[in-house]
Amino acid sequence: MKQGALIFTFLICVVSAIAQDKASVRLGLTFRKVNDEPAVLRCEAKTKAGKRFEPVENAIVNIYFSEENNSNLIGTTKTNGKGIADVNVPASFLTRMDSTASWHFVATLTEGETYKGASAEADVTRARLQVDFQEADSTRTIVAILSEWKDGKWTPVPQTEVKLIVKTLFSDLPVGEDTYTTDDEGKASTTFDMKLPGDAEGNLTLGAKLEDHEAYGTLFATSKMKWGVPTPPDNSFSQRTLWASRDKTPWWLLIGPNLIILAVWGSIFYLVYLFVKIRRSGMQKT
Amino acid sequence: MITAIFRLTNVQWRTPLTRISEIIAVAAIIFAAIGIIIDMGRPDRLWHLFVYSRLQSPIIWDVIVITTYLVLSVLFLYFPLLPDLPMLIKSKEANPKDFTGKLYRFLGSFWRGKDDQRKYSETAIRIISVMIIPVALSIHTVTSWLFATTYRPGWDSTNFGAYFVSGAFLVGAGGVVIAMYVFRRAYHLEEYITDKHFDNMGKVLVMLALLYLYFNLNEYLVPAFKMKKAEEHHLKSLFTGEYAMLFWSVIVLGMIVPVIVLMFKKGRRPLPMFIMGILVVVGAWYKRFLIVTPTLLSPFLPMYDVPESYTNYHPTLAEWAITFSTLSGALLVITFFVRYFPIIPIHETIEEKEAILNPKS
Repeated sequence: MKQGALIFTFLICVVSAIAQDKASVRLGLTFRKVNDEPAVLRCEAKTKAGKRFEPVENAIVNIYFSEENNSNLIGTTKTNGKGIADVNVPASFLTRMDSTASWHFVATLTEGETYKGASAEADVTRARLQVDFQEADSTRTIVAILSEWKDGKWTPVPQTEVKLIVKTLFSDLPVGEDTYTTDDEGKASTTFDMKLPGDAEGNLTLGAKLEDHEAYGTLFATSKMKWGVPTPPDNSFSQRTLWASRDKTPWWLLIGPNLIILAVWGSIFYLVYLFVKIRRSGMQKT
Repeated sequence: MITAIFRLTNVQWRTPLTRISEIIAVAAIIFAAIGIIIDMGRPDRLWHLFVYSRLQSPIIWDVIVITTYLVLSVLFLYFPLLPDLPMLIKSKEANPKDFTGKLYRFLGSFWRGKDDQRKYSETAIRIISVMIIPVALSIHTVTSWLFATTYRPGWDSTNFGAYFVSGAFLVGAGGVVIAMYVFRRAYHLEEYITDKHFDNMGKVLVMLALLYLYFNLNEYLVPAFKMKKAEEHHLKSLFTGEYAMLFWSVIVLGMIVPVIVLMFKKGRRPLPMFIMGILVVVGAWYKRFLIVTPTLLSPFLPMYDVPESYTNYHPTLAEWAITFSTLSGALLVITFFVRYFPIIPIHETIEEKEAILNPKS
């Protein structure tokens, strides 16, 4: 009897110790919108391991509009290897979002085997970032226009830092300075005099970016302009090159090595022939 | 290749060393080929290399030269073995059902030592001796090109072909010296593999180590003089960084110490030669490690946001197992060969001794 009680107490201690060992999660929620595409809500979950943070993988995250209940559920997703989970705001929420000037979002992370549950909230003011291009007397200008929805209309947002960029393969290349401040009309601009390679027609993707703003989130506006140097596409893959497929081996590489291979293997077959002659000679009765 | 050069230049003292060199070459090339197949990760797709081969790819050049060298090395071992086989058959006549007797008969029962047979055999050996030199040069050069045809720091070098060839020469000679010592002791071959052979091989080893040192000087000093940004991480990891201890140990113990020791006549005695041979071969293995690993840890494109394990390398258990099993496999091939065939060419040795006794004939 006493032994049973001891085992039971031990088990309770073990279970409670395991429960206590669950890590606390720090959950972040940010808002992001690119051009007219659906807005994206991004959750980032991490736990503290020693002196540094580590991402929480495969955690289930629910994101709600306004408050946490089933009718407000925007979407459910799982965090990836970097602890990040993105949810696109579906079209069904657009009417509700358009009717107000600011939005409130709630994210909840479901408790897992090794981590505790967590929640995060974000308040976002409805804003928009546009990019405009002007060309006069061979001077090219990029203009970013930032405005927010106030009193039923779009109102310029002054004194805010925005970036003017060219999109490249891996990152964004700043045009001129790193950031520009919007004026009273909500505009920030710079001249564009960079000679950059574009596509075959000279198209570059230029844009404006407002990053991690406390009220508006991340806003990104891009557009294509023929301000680059036209770069014909490299179609050498379909020609006889070193990087082409096997049926397009360059002639010199096909002929030269094959002649050497033929000469060497021809000699090897001659050696085999000599061996056959040695064998035949030995088999003959003298 | 060493044997071929000795044969073509008619080096008189070569006879007891030729078969040792040839069987080392055959065993090494068999496991070089198997090693590549294992390293590719999908041995079941080996046939893809032949069916879907692109001549533009250096890996195909490697497949071609390895196959060619393997065939030539086997023939180079077999043709000089033919005159010895009747003696081996005779030694097993008492027990005709014995496996080794059957093997000897299969390989050489047709050898009668007739004039035409000797003529064909000598022609074949001469052809192989000539052919095997460019093919052996190709095999090491193509292996170097697997690295040198990339833009990676440490590999992007026009010196790489000659550097690999000289490295292969050195390790090959080192391997022959180790085998000479082991076979001499194990089979009491002091009468055949004499101190003179060690002395001569010691001189050859000094020359080859100096040659390899010269190519190392080219390989590291010239890029270090320029210290291009892309090469800096790689070179500093070798000279003063993570791999400095290993790098300088290889240079000093694997090349400089053998040169110094073998310059003295006492250093060219069998035991010091054996120790220097081991230093050369072990040094050569670590040299290959130093050619491959630090370069792969010096990324060609900037790396960020990667796990910490991507920035260092420790061989896994599987990699150690592959390394040791290929080495063991090569040693097993040599052991089997020595168990069943004479490691000293009998017929050639008899002919040589007869020539000494009857110089006019």
